[in-house]
Amino acid sequence: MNEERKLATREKVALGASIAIVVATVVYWITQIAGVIEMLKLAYG
Amino acid sequence: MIESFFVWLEGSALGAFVKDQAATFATIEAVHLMALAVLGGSVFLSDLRLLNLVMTDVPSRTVTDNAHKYFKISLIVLLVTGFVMLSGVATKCYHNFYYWVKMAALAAGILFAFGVRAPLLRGDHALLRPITLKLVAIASISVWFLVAASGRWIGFSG
Repeated sequence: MNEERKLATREKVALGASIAIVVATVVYWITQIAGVIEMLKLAYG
Repeated sequence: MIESFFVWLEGSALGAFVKDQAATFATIEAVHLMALAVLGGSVFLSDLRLLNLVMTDVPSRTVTDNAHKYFKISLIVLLVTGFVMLSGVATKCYHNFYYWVKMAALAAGILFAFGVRAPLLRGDHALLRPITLKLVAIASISVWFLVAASGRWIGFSG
């Protein structure tokens, strides 16, 4: 029972951390790509 | 405080050795990149297995346990060679945005790998929900990809 609870907690922590990392990286790459598109527009119209 | 450490590091004997000997930086960088390749290989192998895309005939626990050994060794090599490389270009790195992106991603990756991923995967994978395993794999690939990409980016910016 105690082991099961430990596993459930570990799984919840893993889910939360994974979602946080995926969201942060998606936001980072969207920002980077938007910056490149903006620079290309400035350079070539 | 942090800036003074970077200035001191570049002015140290190690910094002078790396900067003054033309082949030193290139040689250390070669070892760094080879360790990065091993780390990338271990991350991809174990995470693609968790996503059920490769080696599906081998139990996922076997793949992740074996890959984690190479992950740890390559990470140690990366940290040591990375620090030596940094000593030659410390002040340049201090003012480089992508260096700090890499450091933040590296810290997140290490914390995630040893604080979340490894303890979770130490048990029986069959007891875990498939969505958890898949999300952990996607997060792991994402964070280590960011470490590698921002690392290469340092060389092309600033």
